[in-house]
Amino acid sequence: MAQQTLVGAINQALDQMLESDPDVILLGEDVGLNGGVFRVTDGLQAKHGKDRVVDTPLDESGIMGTSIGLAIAGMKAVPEIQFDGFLGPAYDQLVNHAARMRTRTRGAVTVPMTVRVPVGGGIHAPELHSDSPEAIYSHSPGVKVVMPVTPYDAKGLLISAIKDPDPVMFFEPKRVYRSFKEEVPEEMYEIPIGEAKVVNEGDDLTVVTWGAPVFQCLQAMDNLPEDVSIELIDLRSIYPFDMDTIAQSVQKTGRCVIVHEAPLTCGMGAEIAARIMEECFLYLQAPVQRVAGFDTIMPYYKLELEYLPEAPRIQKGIEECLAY
Amino acid sequence: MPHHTVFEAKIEHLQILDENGKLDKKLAKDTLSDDQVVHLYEQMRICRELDEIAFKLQRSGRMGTYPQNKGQEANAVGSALAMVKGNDWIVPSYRENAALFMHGLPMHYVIQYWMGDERGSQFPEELNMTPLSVPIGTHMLHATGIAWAMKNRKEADRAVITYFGDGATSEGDFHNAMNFASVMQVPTIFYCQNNSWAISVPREQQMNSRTVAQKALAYDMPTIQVDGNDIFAVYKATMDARKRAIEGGGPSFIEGVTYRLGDHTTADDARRYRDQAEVDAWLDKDPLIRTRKYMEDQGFWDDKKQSELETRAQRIVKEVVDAAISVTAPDKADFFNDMYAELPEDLKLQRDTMRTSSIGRNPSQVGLKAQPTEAR
Amino acid sequence: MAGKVSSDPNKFILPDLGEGLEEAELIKWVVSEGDTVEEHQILAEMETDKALVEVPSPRAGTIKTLHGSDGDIIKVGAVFVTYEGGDDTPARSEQDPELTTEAKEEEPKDAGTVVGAVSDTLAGMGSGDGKALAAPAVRRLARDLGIDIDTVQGTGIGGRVTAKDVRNASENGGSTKPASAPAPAAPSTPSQSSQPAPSRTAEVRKPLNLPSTNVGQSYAPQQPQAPQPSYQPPYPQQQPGYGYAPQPMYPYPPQPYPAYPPYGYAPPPPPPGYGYPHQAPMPQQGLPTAPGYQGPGASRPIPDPAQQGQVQPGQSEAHIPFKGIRRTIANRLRESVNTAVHFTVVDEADVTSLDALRKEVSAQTGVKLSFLPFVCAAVAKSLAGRFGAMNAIVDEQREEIVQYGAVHLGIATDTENGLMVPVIRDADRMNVVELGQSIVNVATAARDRSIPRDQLMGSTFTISNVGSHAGRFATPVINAPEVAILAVGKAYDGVVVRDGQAMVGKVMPLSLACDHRVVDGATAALALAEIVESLQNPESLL
Repeated sequence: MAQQTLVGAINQALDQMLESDPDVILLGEDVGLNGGVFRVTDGLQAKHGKDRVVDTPLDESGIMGTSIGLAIAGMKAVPEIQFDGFLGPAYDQLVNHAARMRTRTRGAVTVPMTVRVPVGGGIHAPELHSDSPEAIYSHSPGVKVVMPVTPYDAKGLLISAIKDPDPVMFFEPKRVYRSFKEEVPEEMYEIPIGEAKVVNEGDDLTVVTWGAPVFQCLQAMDNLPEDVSIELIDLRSIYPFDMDTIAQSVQKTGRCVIVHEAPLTCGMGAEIAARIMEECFLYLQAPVQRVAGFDTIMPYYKLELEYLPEAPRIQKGIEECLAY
Repeated sequence: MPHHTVFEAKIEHLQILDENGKLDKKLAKDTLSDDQVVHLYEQMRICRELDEIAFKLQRSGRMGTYPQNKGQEANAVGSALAMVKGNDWIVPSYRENAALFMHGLPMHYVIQYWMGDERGSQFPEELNMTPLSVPIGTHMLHATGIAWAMKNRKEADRAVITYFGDGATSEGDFHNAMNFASVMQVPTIFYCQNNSWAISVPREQQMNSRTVAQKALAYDMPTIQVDGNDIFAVYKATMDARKRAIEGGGPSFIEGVTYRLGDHTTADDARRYRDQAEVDAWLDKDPLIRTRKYMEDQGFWDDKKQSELETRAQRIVKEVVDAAISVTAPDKADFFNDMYAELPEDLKLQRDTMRTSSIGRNPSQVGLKAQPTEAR
Repeated sequence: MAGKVSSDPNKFILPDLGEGLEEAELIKWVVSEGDTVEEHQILAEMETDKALVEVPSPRAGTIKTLHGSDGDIIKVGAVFVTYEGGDDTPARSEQDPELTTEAKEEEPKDAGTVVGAVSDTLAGMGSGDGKALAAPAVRRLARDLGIDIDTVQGTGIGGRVTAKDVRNASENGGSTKPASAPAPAAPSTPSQSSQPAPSRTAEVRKPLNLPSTNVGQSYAPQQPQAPQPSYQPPYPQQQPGYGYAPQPMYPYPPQPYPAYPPYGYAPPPPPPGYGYPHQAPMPQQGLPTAPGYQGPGASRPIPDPAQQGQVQPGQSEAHIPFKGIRRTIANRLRESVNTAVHFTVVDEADVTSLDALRKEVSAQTGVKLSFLPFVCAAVAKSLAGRFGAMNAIVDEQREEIVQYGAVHLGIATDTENGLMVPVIRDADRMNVVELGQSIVNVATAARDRSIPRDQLMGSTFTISNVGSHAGRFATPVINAPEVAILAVGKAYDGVVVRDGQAMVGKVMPLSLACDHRVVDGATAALALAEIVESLQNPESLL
């Protein structure tokens, strides 16, 4: 086993899927010769050829739409949309076609594709390069949404996503692309879509999060008094999501703080809070708290850390919920 | 005639000042005066200085990702001169800084913007320009809309110019904008800076069309390919297009053939995907070099003037950069204030508390920092 | 990285040279220490994950120190160059709070938090309309304990009713709110104990005030007399000049009791003016393992003990993590089997009479009772009496057998996460109704994992109610470090011999496993016999 970054683990998973399944095809802007703007697909075109790792025209709608066609025809398309903010032109194809195809045809035509998108803020990128769109797509029935944050999870979930018979949005927290390394097994393995991971067991309060804020939460937890015991859940799969793990935890702790980068209103935190209300009502010691992005446009980088749920704000949310 | 030709087309290429600084006098007639040439040269040189410094600011941690304009300046200055400052509109992408400066945008706005501060897009009101547009190929529709408004309001002496790259013409929105402009016959000038590369994808791979200009044929739009590093050709083509526009002739398309001498942005390394030989060949076609040659040949430019200009450019850019750096940092809650004309109450609460958690936003919900286990 | 610069102008920290980069390799310095450089002059060539780049100087000055050598990997945020005028501390990481302006920024004014600054606006909270302010979990506790939460004086933040308040109220018989009219006499001192376990004011097990009935004898209805809790609150009605109780323990005229949320299952309210002060909402059955309990405390269904395999169609195997509670249980069971010398004695009790009695008591008290509280009572009686030797643990480290006076019964309970053993403390001092209620409470709390840790520890003997599902005899594994465990089989209609005559009756199989290191075979057999005897003569347990 080797230490891998998120970039390395995703690259390895893509490499192995290309190797093991001739139907897998990667396509997107600059994914080939340049290896992607984050080098996630580095070396894959050289190894697997220009027909399988394809530099496309600069056209997100085209990338998404043709991926749908490729998938309908039996290939396993893995398109990359270069940045979260560029999903806009592809939205119509994804939501009005990919998401609906199976049910419209009652299963006769399906779209097994995995759309990779770097998401989230924190790298002082230009405007429209730092959004967190997971709620938008979780609110689009027919699409699955995952957002692994550790290299190990990313590899296992990506392999699951590519093998999945339905469209999967595979969101990659770009802030963590190179900031965290861990052992990643060389061999292929799968992590089922829909399973959360308990990062840290605890009794006093449950923190539910996903994506880059997992690390901000850990940082916040480090600053809490030692006798406070926090259960940290990395959701990993945003839709479907693992309500059982959340409910079990919240029933144990009675308190929950949900942390995400995306804006507060109608974010996934709202859905999870509602489900906690439904499934854990009588266990609650305090109102469920959401520490999220504000209901504003993600600001350009000078203020992005004010917008993002950084450790101090998470810590306050936890402390207030505990003190309630 | 059961089988006959219903449409034939050709694409013309215009070059007036070649890469050696030789001017085609006939074609240059009624184009740029010597003073105008000097003016455009100075604009290009100052813009180049800004570009170099911005690049270094990023490398020394004082600026975020920045896209250099290097090599493409002639497109911006030539076309901007043809448009009427304070009257016409500019709908830019992000590689035509000089056009914005020539139409009155103080330079430090652009620097401030790329330093991650949206107040750099809070352009002075009297300027007719939209902010830099980062998502590729989506803003040309706005240019069509603005021109449409001009037409609707019968502002017959106004036109709009919008800039975009060769890659942008792959986007659906590009074709939407072209079609709308053509159908509505609005005064929009579509200026494509064909710089040969969309990040790592060369133009030949971006499209299977021999020219970008021919894409306008589908919309029956007057179209031309010009040497984009030739200020004369750029100026003339834009003048022609603008004249047509204000006379009710509808939209036009200009393909300026140019070259991105730098990386896509500071986050890019073009050496990964393109040959240095290609870059070197284009270095010789640099619009600054050929314009300087021309001016020197004509005898109205010399080393002394060049040296003075360089000193001036350095001073201007230093002042501008210093100004941008010394701008007071934005208020932490700055990003709330212009979300709506009037902020909803809920958003005010978020702003005033800088919190999204309900307890943090509603002090009455929280109390003393009790033992966490107290209430359990 | 951009936006992150050293607060010390003499230190240049390595910026993010691209987007989201963490480090860069120093290819070579192009200046030397002692050199004077201009702003923007190139200092070094570096290679990042994305590009080969030149790093310019952010200022003019003389270079004092270049941090790093060719080939070094330099972290973004580390001090890269020190200029003259700066003290030359070694490179520090970007987390260094003193290094970056970001970290040095003042803690933002915390307009939203009032931690540590409770305003006066809180003072009036809580009693405005007589409705308690309480978290859902506290409300559930109140309901489980039969407390009308609106009658509880909140001592928490802003007058909020806490779990402690509810427990105090429970121990004090219901309300803790001061009467609006001056009370003529202060109620007797409430228990100071904050321990959640039932308070131990009665020295001996209180008998149930039931007529000593014989099975089969017709039950003569009489004035129902509620069983009394250990602490007798003053009956407001008994106070002259009081009129109606200002804080009635039993709302009268009848009201929904207690306040249930407007959805979900609510058991029917008990008859007004009749009931049991500590009455908890009882599930359909008294047995903690009762399947299908849909009551308010059970928002998650009790697991079907039948465990289907999880191998999915088309797969050859399923991998289930062996960890968490199940792992903990497994380790303890392993330890027990490795340590204790298990032997099991079995017998059957004729519980025909008991079956009738429990139904009568249930009818009379409104508390549905299963066999289990009676078994607990029988066991507690024996352990507190002749068989105290089995109410013990083995302390391996000290090489001691520790025998206990009080009987704390562990009740092995199936939960979704596996076996848990909540503890009924001082079972020997409880009557069967109290035992029944305690069993339900702890079992429910164990299943929803709201049970406090201390209620999962300290048992001295364990009863496993395997019989609530099926089966007769078992060879139960002792709950180490205890020395014995009783497995109760399912009571079935079987042949019993009474007065020399075979007849059909209720038969309950019992299996008592003991640690032979501590308990002799005869002792075990006799103890089981005594338990059987108690169950066959259940009046003795009341």
